[in-house]
Amino acid sequence: MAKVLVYLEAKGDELKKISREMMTVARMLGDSVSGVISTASDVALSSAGKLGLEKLTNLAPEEGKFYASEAFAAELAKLVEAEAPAYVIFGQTNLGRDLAARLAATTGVGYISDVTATEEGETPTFVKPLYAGKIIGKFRFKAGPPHILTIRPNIFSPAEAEGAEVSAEIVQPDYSSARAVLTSIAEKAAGTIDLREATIVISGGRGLGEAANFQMLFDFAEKTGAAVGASRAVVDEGWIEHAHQVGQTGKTVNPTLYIACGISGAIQHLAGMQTSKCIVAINTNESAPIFKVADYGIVGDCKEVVPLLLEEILKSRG
Amino acid sequence: MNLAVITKLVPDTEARLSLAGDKVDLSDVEMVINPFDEYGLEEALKIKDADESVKVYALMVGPESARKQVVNCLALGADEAIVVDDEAIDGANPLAVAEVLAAELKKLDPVLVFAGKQGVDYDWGLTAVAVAQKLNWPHVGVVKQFTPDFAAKTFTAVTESDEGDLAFSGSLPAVITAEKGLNTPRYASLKGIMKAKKKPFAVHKLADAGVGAAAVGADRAKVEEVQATHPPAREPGRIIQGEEIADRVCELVRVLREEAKVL
Ligand SMILES: Cc1cc2nc3c(=O)[nH]c(=O)nc-3n(C[C@H](O)[C@H](O)[C@H](O)COP(=O)(O)OP(=O)(O)OC[C@H]3O[C@@H](n4cnc5c(N)ncnc54)[C@H](O)[C@@H]3O)c2cc1C
Ligand SMILES: Nc1ncnc2c1ncn2[C@@H]1O[C@H](COP(=O)(O)O)[C@@H](O)[C@H]1O
Repeated sequence: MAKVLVYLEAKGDELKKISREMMTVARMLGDSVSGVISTASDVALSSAGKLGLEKLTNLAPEEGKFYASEAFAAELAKLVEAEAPAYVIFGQTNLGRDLAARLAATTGVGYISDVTATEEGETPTFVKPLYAGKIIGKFRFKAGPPHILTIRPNIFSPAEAEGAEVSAEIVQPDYSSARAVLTSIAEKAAGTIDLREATIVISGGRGLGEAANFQMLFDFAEKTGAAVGASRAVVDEGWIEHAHQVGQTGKTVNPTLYIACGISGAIQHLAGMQTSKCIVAINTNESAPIFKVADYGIVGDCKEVVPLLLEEILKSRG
Repeated sequence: MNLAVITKLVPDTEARLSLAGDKVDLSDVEMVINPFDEYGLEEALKIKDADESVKVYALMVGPESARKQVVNCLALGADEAIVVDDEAIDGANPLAVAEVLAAELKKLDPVLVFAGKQGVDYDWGLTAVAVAQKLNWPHVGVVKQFTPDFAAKTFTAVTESDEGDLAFSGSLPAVITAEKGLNTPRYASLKGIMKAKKKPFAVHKLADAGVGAAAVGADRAKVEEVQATHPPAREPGRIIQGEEIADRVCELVRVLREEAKVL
């Protein structure tokens, strides 16, 4: 029976959504799933334990020492050796992809990153967007197992808790073997919604006119539970931090609703948002390329439309 | 002190891509240095700005035809360029490419290797990490702030994540992969362009790198690309009409609720 190992992620006390998404993929690919996590939170650990895992291992962080790719990859390599899983699954997050790459390099096995779909068959194929989504590539593992995957957030539906809670086995990673260690985390204020996990993203471009007008989008985000994105043009202008940039050299987002305000729709921007379920564009220029990918468009000034839109949405929610 | 920048040749991000059967046809596509690698190069050049004795190498596994793009790295300020072009290398396999890069890097003996966080072609994000593994070095990926201390042989690096900013400390030598925002890449000056013509530019074969063909051939690939297709085009959308802006917004919220069911 096929075994799968998943590398779960938590943010403070909360299991990240991507962890449940990984479980969905794991259950498609195998029937016995083990989990690895690295958390200091008992709450997160207990949520992970309820995912329906065969076994859960906590790579317990030390005081002032958190992630360390060399040490973590070494522990994972041991687990892979001992359990011989067919697949090892990570999230396509900064740390997930980092560890997946170290593990692939350490073990020399096959690795497919940023998977957005799997197709079952005698040898399953894995789909991933290439060239910023201009091409869809299908891949297959030629050697192995094990096979290493990272999955793109917000694509697969999150799995529900299942079965009895398993308690975690604690493993102390050997930090002495690591020559690059994560030593501190400047945690974001509680309640900030991650761009990649948000169900609504409202993004601003040069059409906003000036930096101060981003406040409109932050207001919108705060009151509707959205996250704020941006085009590269305004990031380069210094209107907003790079962490908000959507696109080929920014983040890839997959929200249910993407609202582009004053964004022309350059190919590099589309790369980061074209798989959104529903795209709304607000632009004064009716021939702006963004309207070619938008499901709904309003030709108009975003500075006028955004506050009205916020009001209307709040009204409709009652 | 030597620094190395590893760079990949990728299609221009503006380029339209066509298919030849099941594969992407890159024969007529304008190729460029991977955008993320430009931030890696700039970071090396900043170190050189502060200390003239530093030597910066630009290294690529890729076609000899990449000379034009790699010479631009020299024009920006790199001292020497090496392109390893050998048909025995499976350029599509990051682990094979890393094998060749690691072999060349051992000879250059750099204290830091800068790379991009990922190629904008396949987004593997694997090659540079595999180089670190093969050199038995540490690495930090997706770096947006980097501070080396060459005297102490240490560094600190900041990366961004969903949790917030992550601060790493590590020891040199190391591999660092660059995120946009690490710095603002410079433009080549006329003087730089003139100078570049006289700078050393080597084209190596596998044998020069000291790697056997058996280690890097296509038959060693662990992953196979079965098919490339164009994504389905999005259905053309609808411009919401209405006399006043307020009417349009009202109608938009209605369709988002009732048709698209996303609110
Ligand atoms: C290697 C590379 C990587 C890149 N990566 C990215 C990336 O990751 N993300 C990204 O976004 N870009 C990226 N770009 C840049 C991209 O090519 C565009 O330059 C950028 O997306 C343009 O940003 P913009 O739409 O905000 O600005 P513009 O193109 O200037 O568009 C502004 C739009 O606002 C509209 N407008 C003006 N006034 C108003 C108003 N009052 N109300 C409503 N609309 C108004 C205009 O009609 C116009 O369509 C990259 C480029 C390169 C070369
Ligand atoms: N053929 C190559 N030659 C030199 N450097 C490369 C090559 N391929 C990848 N790299 C480096 O590794 C990084 C990650 O590439 P990739 O693993 O393809 O996403 C790139 O940004 C480059 O810095």
